[in-house]
Amino acid sequence: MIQLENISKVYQTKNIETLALDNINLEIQSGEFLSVMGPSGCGKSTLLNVMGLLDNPTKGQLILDGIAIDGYTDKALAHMRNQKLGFIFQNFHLISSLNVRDNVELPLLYRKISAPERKRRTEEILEQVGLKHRSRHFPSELSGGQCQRVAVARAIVGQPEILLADEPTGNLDSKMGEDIMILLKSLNRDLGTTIVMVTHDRALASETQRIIHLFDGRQVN
Amino acid sequence: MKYRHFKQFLEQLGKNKFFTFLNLFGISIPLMIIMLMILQIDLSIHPSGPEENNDQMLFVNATRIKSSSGGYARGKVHLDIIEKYFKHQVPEETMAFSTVSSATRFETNSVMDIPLRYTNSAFWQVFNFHFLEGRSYTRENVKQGDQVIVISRKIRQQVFDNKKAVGKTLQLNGHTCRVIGVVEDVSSLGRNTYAQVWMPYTLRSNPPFNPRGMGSATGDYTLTFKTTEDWDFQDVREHVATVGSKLNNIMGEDREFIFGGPSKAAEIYFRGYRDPESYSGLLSSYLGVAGKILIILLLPALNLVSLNLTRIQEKSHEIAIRKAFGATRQNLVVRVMLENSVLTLIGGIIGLFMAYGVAIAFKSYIFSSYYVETPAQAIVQMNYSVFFVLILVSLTFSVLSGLIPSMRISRLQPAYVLKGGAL
Ligand SMILES: Nc1ncnc2c1ncn2[C@@H]1O[C@H](COP(=O)(O)OP(=O)(O)O)[C@@H](O)[C@H]1O
Ligand SMILES: [Mg+2]
Repeated sequence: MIQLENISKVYQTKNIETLALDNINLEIQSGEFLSVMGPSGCGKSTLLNVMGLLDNPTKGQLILDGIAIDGYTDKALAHMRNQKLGFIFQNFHLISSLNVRDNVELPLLYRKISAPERKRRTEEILEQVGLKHRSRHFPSELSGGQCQRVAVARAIVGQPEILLADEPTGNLDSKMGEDIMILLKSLNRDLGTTIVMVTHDRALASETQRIIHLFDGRQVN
Repeated sequence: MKYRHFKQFLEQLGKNKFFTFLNLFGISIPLMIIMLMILQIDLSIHPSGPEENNDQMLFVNATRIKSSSGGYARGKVHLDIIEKYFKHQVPEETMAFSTVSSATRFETNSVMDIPLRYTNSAFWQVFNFHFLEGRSYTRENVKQGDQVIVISRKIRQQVFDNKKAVGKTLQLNGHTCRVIGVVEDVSSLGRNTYAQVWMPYTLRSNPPFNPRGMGSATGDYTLTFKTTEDWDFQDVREHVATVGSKLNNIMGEDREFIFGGPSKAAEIYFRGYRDPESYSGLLSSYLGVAGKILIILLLPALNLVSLNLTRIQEKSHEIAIRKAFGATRQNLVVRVMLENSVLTLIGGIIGLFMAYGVAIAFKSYIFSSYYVETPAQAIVQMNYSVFFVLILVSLTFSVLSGLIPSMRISRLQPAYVLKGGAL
C-alpha cells in the first residue's frame, strides 16, 4: 500500500541543515495498523507528512498503491489526498473561520457528492465522535480535546483507505484517548483502513500490529 | 460561487469587521469620487433642459485681439460684430446670442439681485424652453425695444406668489417690464441659457465698436449656432472663419483678431476661460480626465493589493489545510478570486449609493455653486456604462491582486505552510 524507498528529508534553513529523515525504507501493507514511536524531533511528523503527500522528500521514492508519486500533476496529487488519504495533524489545524460542521465536511467538498449526502455523512461522523451538539460552534469555542475529535472526524469522514494520525491522542485524557483508539481500531477492522499512527504512548502502541522506532531520522529496531 | 461558500464568506466578513471596513471603503470611496467627478462633467457638457440638444450646436464665446507690441485684449463677442457680420448672413432662426447681467429689484424692505440675460428673439427657437405661461418675445418686440420679459418659475413664485404672471409688470434696472412668458426653472449648469429673467438685448446700451481700441473691439455676447441639414457644422465654421479674417483685415497690420471657436459645448467646458489658441483640443481634455481617474483608481488598486497580501498571509493556513484535504490549486485560486470579486462588487455598489447620497446632500457644493434641480435623477440618467467600466476595472485589479499571492501560496507544500512558512 505505502512503500518508501531510500527516503531522506533535509530541512534547509539559513545556516542550519537538518537531516530529518535519513534513508528510510519501509513497506506498509494494505489493512495494516502501525505505530511510529521515537523521541521528540526524531522525524516522526516529517515521515507522516511525506507519506501524506504534504511534503516532498529530498531524496528517494514514495510509492502509493503501486504508483510512484513523483510524476504526479497537481490535480492527481489533490485527487490522491482527497480520495485515498486522511490526515490527523499533531496540532489539529482546523480552519478557524469555519464551524465544526464545515470543518468536518471539508474533504467531501472536493468530491462529487450532493449537499444532502455530505450533510448526512458529516452528521453521522460527528455523532460517532460525540460532537453532534457542537456542530455550529467554532474551533475557538472548543476545548483541546474537542478540537482533536473534530480533526479526527474530518480525517475519517471521507472513509480514506489510508489514515495518517500524528499523535491523535496527545491532547486527550486517557479515557478519551482510549475512545479514539477504539474508533481507529474499528475503522481498521471493519473498513480495512490502513493506519499509521505516531504516538508516545507505549500502551496504545502495543495495541497496534507493528511498531516502528525512529531515532535521529533513522529507523532503529 | 456556491451559495454555501458565499454565506461562509459573508460570515467571515462579518467577523472580521475592521478588515471588511477597510477593504470596502477603500473601494467605494474612490469609486464614489470618480462617479461624482464624471457626473459633474456630464451635467456640464450635457445639461438637461433648454440646452439638451447642445451636441447640434456650436458656440463662439471668445474673441481675442493681439497687438504686435505684445498687448492684448480678450472678451466675448461685440454686439456690432454680430449685427454687421452675422445677423443677416446666417439663417435667422439658427443663431442665438445673449449676454448675462443682473437686475436689481427694490422691494419694500429688501434688495433682490436677479440673474438676467439679454437675448435676441431666435434665442427662443434655438433653445428648448418649457413655457408654463405665455410666450417668448418676437423679432418685432426686440426690434422695437419693447419692455417685455420672460421670467422663471422661481421669480413667479417669489414676486407674484405663484399666481398667473403674464400681463403683470416688474421694475427692473429702471424699466417697467411687462411679463409675457413664464418658463420652467433652468439649471445654472446651462451656461448659455441660465437666468431668472430674460429680456430683449435692445434694452441694453452697448459701447461702440472700435477696431483701434483694443478692449472696445471685444464685447460680452455669446453666439450659439444651431446646425441644421442646410446649415451644418462646416458652414458655421467657414462663416466664422471668413468673418474672422475680415475683422483681422479691419484691425490693421499691427493687430490680430482671433475668434475662440466655433466650439462644441464640451470644448468650451474644458477650455474654460483659457485662450482659444492655448487649448489643445477635446482629445487631450478627455485624456486628462482619464488620467485623473486612473490616479484616483490607483488608491483602490493599492488598497486591494496590500489587503490581499495580508489576507493571503492569514488565509495561507486555510489554503494549506484545504490543499491537504484535496483542493487543487485551481480550486484554491478560484476561491480567492471569487471572494475578492464579491468584496469589490459590494464595495462598488456601496460607492454608487454613496455617490447618490452625497450628490443629493451636497448638491450645491459639489456642483460648484451651480443649482441642480435633481442630482439624483441626473445620476440615474448618467451613463451606467461609467459605473460598469469602473466596476470592471476594480474587479480586474482585485482579481489580479489576489491571483498572484494565491497562486504562490497554493503552490507551496502544505506541511511547509502549516509549520509557519509562508510567502
Ligand atoms: N520546516 C522545518 N524547517 C527546519 N527544520 C525542521 C522543519 N520541520 C522540522 N524540522 C526539524 O526536523 C526534525 C524532525 O522534526 P519532526 O518531524 O517534526 O519531529 P517529530 O515529529 O518527531 O517531533 C527536527 O529536528 C525539527 O527541528
Ligand atoms: Mg511531531
